Amino acid sequence: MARTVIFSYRHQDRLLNRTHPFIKVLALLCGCILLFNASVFLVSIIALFLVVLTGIQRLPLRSYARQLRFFILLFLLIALGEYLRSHSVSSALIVLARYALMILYALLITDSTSSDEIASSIPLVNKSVLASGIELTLAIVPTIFQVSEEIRIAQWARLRRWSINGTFGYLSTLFELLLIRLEERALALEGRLFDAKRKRHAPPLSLYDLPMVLATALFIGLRLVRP
Amino acid sequence: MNDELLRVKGLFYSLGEDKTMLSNLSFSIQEGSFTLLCGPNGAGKSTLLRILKGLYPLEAGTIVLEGKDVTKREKDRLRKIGLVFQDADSQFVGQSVEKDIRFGLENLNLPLEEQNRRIDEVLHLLSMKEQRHRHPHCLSGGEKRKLAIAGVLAMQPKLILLDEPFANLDYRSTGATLKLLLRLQKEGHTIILVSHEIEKCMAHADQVLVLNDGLLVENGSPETVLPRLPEHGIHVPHDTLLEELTWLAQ
Repeated sequence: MARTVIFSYRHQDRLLNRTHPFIKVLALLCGCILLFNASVFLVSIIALFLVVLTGIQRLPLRSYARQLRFFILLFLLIALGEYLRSHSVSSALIVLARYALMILYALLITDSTSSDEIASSIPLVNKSVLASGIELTLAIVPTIFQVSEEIRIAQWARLRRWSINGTFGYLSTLFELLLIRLEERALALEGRLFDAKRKRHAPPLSLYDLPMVLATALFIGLRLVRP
Repeated sequence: MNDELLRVKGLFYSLGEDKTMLSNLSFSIQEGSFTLLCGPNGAGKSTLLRILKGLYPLEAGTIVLEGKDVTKREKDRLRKIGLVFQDADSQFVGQSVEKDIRFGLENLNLPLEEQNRRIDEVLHLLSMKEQRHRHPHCLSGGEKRKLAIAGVLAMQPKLILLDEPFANLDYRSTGATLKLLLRLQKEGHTIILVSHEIEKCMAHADQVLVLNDGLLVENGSPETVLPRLPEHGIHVPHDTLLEELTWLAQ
């Protein structure tokens, strides 16, 4: 049995799963925009909110650990870049926290929302072919991580040592395997009569959307009051 | 069983000028039958299934389904023929078992009630109700195979093609998959199954097709084809009776 793949959907009966997909997408966009240059205070408030949501959602962070290594490397590079620019450890830590929270936001949204739900819930877009484009693109994201994990394990099992050549080999294998998988996926879609223009039904808004709406409004308010 | 469901005549497929994949294949399949398509690796078995389904273009030949020439009507073939891919993972689109089965039904533009009815039906048939909300990639090998079959079955095709359905399955899962296929056949489904492991299911076949180097070298009942299999590079255990070629408990 495979481990849970990062950025993939899990069916659960929890608050975030019940929240309207479009509200979640909007909250994610607002959250990321606010985090770009949020103060320490706002970063702390958003962090608290996301930690609570992570608990409620029971996000399997342990299963994600290996797959998150790519992001950890990225965070370290970002923090290092900021430190070299500002010569301030606290500034580097704040930048690191901002990016880590953006990823956590995205993890929570993708964990609780399937790609077809997102595609069906965006007003106007859900009536067009664009919705299918969004659905398929989002569905590919976990595949990328799954394939890279498979290659990593296969190369590790054959005692691969780190080298620049090896890294290029890893990347070219990744692209090759992804192309093969995507070609197979395209055939499967055709075989299952994929209709990009099919009717989609947007779910209705409900009271479960309120916490996310209020939290996002609070973050925007705080940003305006304490820039 | 007895009515002819599928007739293929003079089928030809190549990859460029110097690589002929399938050459002059002709055969027919009876409605409600269980056909085993076997042959060594690279014989063209998977290619043949994809052509029949309408995923690869036909270069020459005719395909007649239910008495209708559907050679140039790929959409008809896509709708009436179901294909379970060798790599079940590549077939999954939905992010839960239910969503994946629903995917094909939505593409058929069926009303929501009918979609729900069919999903309940196949989940019950395949004993997958408990996995309804699981992510397809988190299922075991046997469960993934069942889901791939469920996704095809829910679309109610006339003919079900299965590409190596026993690949990577253990003894128990192979037995369960085989039992399921035989039950589907009993209910009237027509099945063409590709496998080079004939010892797992040959005893249940009504017809055996053998492909070798893109040519149809054998076409007949299991009794007539079995003794000639070694000539085509297919291993048959010594002194084996046809009835013993099954992975179902005797």
